[in-house]
Amino acid sequence: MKRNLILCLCICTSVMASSKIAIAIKVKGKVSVIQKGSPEKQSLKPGRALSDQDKILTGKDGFAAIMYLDDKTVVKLLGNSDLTVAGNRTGGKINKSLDIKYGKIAASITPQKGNEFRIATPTSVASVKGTELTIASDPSTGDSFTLLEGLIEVTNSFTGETIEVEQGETAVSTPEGSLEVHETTTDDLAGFEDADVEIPTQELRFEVEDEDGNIKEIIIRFQ
Amino acid sequence: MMIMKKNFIYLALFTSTLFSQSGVLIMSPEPNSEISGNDVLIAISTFGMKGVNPDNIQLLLDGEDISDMAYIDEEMVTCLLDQLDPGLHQVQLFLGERGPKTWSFTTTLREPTLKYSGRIRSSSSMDQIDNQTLNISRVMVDFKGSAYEWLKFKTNVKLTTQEKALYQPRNVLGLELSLKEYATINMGDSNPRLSHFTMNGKRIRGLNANFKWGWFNLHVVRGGINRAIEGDLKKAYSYSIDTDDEGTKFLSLSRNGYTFAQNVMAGRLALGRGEKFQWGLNFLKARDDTTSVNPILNDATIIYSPSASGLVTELDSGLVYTIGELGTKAQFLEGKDWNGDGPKDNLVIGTDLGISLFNKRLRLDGELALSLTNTNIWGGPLTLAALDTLMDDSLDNKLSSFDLSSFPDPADYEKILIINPNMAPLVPIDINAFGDNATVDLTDAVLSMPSLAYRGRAITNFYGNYLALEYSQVGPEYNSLANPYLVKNKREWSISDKFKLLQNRLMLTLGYKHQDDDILTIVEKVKSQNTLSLGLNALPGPGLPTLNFTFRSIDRDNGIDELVQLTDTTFSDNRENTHTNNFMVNISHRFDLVWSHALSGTFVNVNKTDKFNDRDTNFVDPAMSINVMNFSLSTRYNFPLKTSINITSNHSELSIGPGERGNQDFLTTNFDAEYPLLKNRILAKGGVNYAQGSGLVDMSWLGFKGGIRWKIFDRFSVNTQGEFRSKETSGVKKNTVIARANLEYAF
Repeated sequence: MKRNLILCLCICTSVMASSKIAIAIKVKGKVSVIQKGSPEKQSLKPGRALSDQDKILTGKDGFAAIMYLDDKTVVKLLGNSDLTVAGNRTGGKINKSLDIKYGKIAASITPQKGNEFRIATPTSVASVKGTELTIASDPSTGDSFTLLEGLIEVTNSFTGETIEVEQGETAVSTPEGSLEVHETTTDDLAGFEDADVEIPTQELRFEVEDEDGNIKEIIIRFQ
Repeated sequence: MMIMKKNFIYLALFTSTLFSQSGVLIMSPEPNSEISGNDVLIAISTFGMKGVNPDNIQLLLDGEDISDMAYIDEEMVTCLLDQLDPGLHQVQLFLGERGPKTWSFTTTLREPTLKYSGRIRSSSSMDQIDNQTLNISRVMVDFKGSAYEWLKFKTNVKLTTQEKALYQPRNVLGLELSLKEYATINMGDSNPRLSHFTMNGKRIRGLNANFKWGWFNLHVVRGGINRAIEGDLKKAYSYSIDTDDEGTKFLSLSRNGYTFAQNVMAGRLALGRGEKFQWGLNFLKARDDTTSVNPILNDATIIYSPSASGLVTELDSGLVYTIGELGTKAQFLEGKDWNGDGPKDNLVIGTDLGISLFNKRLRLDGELALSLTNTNIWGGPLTLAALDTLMDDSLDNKLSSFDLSSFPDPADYEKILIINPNMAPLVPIDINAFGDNATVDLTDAVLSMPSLAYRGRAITNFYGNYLALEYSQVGPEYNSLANPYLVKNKREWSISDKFKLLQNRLMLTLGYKHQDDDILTIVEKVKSQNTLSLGLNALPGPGLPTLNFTFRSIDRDNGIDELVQLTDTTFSDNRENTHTNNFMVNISHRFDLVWSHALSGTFVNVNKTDKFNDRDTNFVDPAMSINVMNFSLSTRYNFPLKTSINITSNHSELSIGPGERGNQDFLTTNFDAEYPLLKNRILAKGGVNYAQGSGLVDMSWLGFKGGIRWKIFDRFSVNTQGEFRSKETSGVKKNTVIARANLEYAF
């Protein structure tokens, strides 16, 4: 009996010792965080750990980037955004989801290895396995999901209609129930300039040895 | 035995947890990255690693121990450094006895002051449909960037072979500058939106500037709505044959087919921040430039032929003459006598209000706008004396019963609006609502003003309930030259509610909309349409099919109940009173069976019936019935191939003439496939489609299409596609060829 208790305690401690799931890696302007169950709004600083159901609010010029602890999935919030980060810690992984009330979000999601990354807004639900995308959400006008890489499924919550969105496409989902996909234009990415959602920089690396035998590296970055 | 089994399970769980080890994740800064030296965050995740003791963790920066400045626990290490000198830095993390995790990054003095990126796209298309060929080429250049953190710029350039002097501009040339949140200035082409009724996205060439300072907002637009178009030189003139004082016949030439340059100045002064609260005052002033169209086009041509008025000597019937050749044998009419459209003048004033509450879950907005339009300003403004005799011949200083003694002279306001008998409406409000002997209620007179437009809307989005209430009315004479696509003479109100049940697994939609044209107090036959809609969407859960169902019931009535007797035996039947039921059901299911599939089936039925049963046998019956069935299957294979099959059948039964009805059947099938090659750098697409129609028209076609999207470099791609379709209609064969190519380069 005593051994059972000890084993239970170990397991519970292992599972519940911490509910940390992500960390704020970049914060600019006015950004605050509200912990689950707490009415208090605190200023978000870089390096702060975030737990399941923490709500992040950005001011007009605010910007925040958060990174999940298990796989470096990055979520960026632009100005005037309201986002709740969620994650269930199971084993060595975190089952992640985002609940966007409104605002502009950019995410670079590492492949989830069988798990689904859900993004919910008042109008839509997106199912993501691994991708890079931007989301602009407004409860009164709807959402736009722009895929920079990968594949997602978007469901309009009012009609239940589901469509696949591929790289280079933007899905627009409205509270009136329409759900359409079009080829992405620069207008779809307007407002996301601060999120650096351009195609990532490529690198070429060469190692060279000088006369003294020191190894030096030449890095050529190109886009 | 039971206890032992439990212990075994606990032990298994414990050990599996213990040995599920993950590695150290460097979260910030990225190895070999280049970052600003301000507020540098060093962050490492040890999530999932076991046996990590925070007391044995040591963090070094450039060889110096900074562990005391860091936050350290079992799962993460973070350290925020206010300022680092520019240069290369090395981080070392020691986890107990394990060897150090080492990486480097570089800090710079400040972030680059100038950032830019852009994209150049070109596209060419050739559409040869039956015997008609259309070739179009376009080049689009998008260039955007920022400088010094306060300036952003963006270009919008599109050049096309469709640009012709005969049409309004097809090319787009625009530059946008943004100065933080304080100002956005567009030069060249832009699509300003002031409000729903005044200016709502129509392209303007000129200046479009938006200024914000706290609660103060000013939006100013000045430019051209239309450019002047001289028109087709073969259709630029019509003529009549007149006789001068000496009895000589000549051609009296009138200009046709032109468009005046139309200039606009508009503004919106508003108080409010963002979408939470906005109260705006709008005005718009647009006027045609009467000097922009050239009355004499020497290269324009006419075909001369004598008329009943006589003939012009030295001109041969049936010959083509240029205007320059006609010399004294032609005279040009003044603009006010031209046959073409008269130049217009337009003034719009309005106000709008928008409020968002509860994180945009409650939205209230409304707008009111009044327009004054002159449909022909050639004659200039009306004077007060001319106004006195406008509706009668007596010089009594009255317009009908309206006293003009204290009324201002309209000619004094010529720069704001040219007021003359071509005003539409001539008087914006029913004048019978004024004076001691008013016969119309003033409130009714105001709300039914023909050039008034107003709307209101309330939207709530609480507890999965999206409730919308809307009302709008646009008078028959409301006119904004910068908003030409607004539907006029329409009043409508609607209520709709979309709500989610069973944890979003069931969505219900209910809606009702009423539309009519009962705006003016003089309307006798009111046209109306009532639409009731119902929707149901079931999403039972992962792995289960989804069901969508919609139903709409539409009643349409033009208010005419009686036949018009033309002769003793002939009647005209203009009555319209129909009922339409529109029903759609769709079932979709995603499932894995060897491969991954998405299956969808849809059935649509539209049934329109005439409510009158006393129609003449030769009446063109508006009743019709349409049944559509669609089946589609998309498949993703274990290898990168993706295919889709789509089959649609359509059966229609409708009126084809007085007292006659007919049937038309149509079947279309498509098969499409795409396959990525060279690590997704090339996407090959192809497909075949077949259609067959029978009944009123017998026809069939067979088509093939194919193309590739090739990402030659990361930022340079080419997209080509072609389609060939062979069509046979009633025994006549025609071919369609479509070819398109796009090039895109991003920098």
